[in-house]
Amino acid sequence: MIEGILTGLSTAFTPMNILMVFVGCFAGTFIGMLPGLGPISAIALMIPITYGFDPASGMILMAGVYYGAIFGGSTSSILINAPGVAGTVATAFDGYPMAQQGHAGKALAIAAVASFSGGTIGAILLLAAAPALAQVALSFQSADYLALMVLGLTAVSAFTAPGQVLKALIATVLGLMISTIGTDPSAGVQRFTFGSLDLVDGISFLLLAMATFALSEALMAILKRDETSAAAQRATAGELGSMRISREEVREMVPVIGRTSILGFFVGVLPGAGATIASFLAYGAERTFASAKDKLKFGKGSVRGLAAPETANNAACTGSFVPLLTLGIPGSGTTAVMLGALISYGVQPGPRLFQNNPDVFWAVIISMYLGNVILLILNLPLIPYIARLLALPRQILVPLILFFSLIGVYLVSFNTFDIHMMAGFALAAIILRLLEFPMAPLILGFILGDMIEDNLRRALTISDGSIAFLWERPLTAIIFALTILTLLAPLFRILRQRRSAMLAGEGG
Amino acid sequence: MTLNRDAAAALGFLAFSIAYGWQATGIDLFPGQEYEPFTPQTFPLALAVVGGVLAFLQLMKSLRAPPEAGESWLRYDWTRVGLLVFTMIVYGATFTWLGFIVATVIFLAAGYLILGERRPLVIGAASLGVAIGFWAIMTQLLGLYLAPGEAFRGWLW
Repeated sequence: MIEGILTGLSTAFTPMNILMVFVGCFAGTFIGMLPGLGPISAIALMIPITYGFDPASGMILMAGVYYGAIFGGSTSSILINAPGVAGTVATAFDGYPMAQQGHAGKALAIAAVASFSGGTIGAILLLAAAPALAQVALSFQSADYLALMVLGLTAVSAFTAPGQVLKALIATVLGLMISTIGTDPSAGVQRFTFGSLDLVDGISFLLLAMATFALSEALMAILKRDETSAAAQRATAGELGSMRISREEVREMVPVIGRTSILGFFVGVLPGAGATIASFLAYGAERTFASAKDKLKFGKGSVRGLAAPETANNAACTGSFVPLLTLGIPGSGTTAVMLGALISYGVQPGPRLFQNNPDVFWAVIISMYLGNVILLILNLPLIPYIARLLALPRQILVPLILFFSLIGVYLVSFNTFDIHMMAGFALAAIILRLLEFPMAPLILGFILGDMIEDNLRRALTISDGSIAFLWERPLTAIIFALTILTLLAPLFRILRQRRSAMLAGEGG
Repeated sequence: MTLNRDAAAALGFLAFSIAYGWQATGIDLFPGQEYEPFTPQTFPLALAVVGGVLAFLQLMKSLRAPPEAGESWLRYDWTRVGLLVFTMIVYGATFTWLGFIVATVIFLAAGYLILGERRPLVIGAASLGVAIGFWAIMTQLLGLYLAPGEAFRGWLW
């Protein structure tokens, strides 16, 4: 492991890669601050730029973008109460009131310190957990992988849209269906191409990610006449106040950071859970365990209330890399886009990544630590200036986002048919978003589609067409049982609610 | 009875799943492949069945749920979004013919205009500057090929 860390250090600490982390953090913070654009869009927009890089540099840039986008989301949560990302919604609960009281600078500093600590502790835990899990994962067979991927898809569906599980599952199946377009990887026959040569290679993941996230998010802001950029301009035009954190506040933050970073990391490792659930859980737990006096401060600018979700969401972001790097299975929409990027660099993530490409594996882990340091010491002082960039009027910004999305995809394929497909997919994504279908499960389904089919084929061929592989190995059976439990959980909740409503009715 | 939005969406996906499944049955197989446990049709057919079942469940759920008066879609800014999507399609259609620089300048300028920018200097600078700057980075610095424009063949190059 020491050898690995040294490999990672020597790869990450080249001037080029340090520049990548810096550029990534900066670009991520800027895009994350833009209302409506989240980390998936930020990463997708960066992918075309990274195609010429070696995989380690590309991943380092994207890890920086991811952190930057989450941090940028926190900034817009704190300054204008408009979280660009679901993972920073809980940040606004106490961050915005604090900014309203004239302590915007302090709120940003607390958020940055909490993010830094959460990310750093997360990176240390990742350092320990990832190689261990990768060792275990080497014994996994096709059926286990299939089961894990199905569990990942159902968990993401169950967690991303509470109360809308069916819609999320439909979005997942739609993503899987889109993944079957093109040439079948095993037999080489064409499927759903309708004779079009443009579809023979299938639909690129970058095209779908860009159309369903960057393009549709930018267009949704126009569609809904979102006025948050005007609010951003007002908020950043004024003074942010001092960024100094007092000694008492530090003393208040330390135990919170310790607890919530561990909580956040483990929630992040679970498929589907991720930063949003981690931040809400951390906020809820801190409020529950606070003394009666402290409890009153929550929602009115509490230091604990701000530090808890910020630490947890960054720790969870780091945790979500565990299944990606060790199993090759993304647990969230964001890591799914990263998986797509890795595959396009010619790197297959999974337990063998850490044997075949140790430089990528370790450099990504080390660069996460580096990214956190850069976010803290370079980005924080730059926040007022980055925020000024938001003053760029929307009528200029949106066409530029559309242009960079379209040209980014075009530069990979050099086929103008892709531009038309993007327009079509973006329009479809807008309709689906208006109908409250979540997009993250769709992209996850699309990216996992090929791998699921491949593992299903192998599992079925090995068991000669029998579905006994579902329960023959205890590991597979346990994972499938968990999948069924995840699917049934919302049903149990509905039944319990009905029963308590009935009891209340009888009581009344 | 009028269908609520969710029910209509579920019905749409049910129809899509059936059409997808029907198309899947037409995927070519090699002779004898139909006796193998897994063929190129297997996964799509399984997806069609799962999709159909999910759509049916969603349909039942939304028919049983009390109709909600959701936000009206009419109050959204469809005109601007429609125009932006249209400019994207035109951009794709004219890209090779007009070349990267001209097509991009037109696309960006149209985008700024659609979103309400009226200052000619801003429109000109923000479209020409971005197009030429991007072209210079891509072609001169990174050595990538960007369509120079079929329309100008023999005239400019």
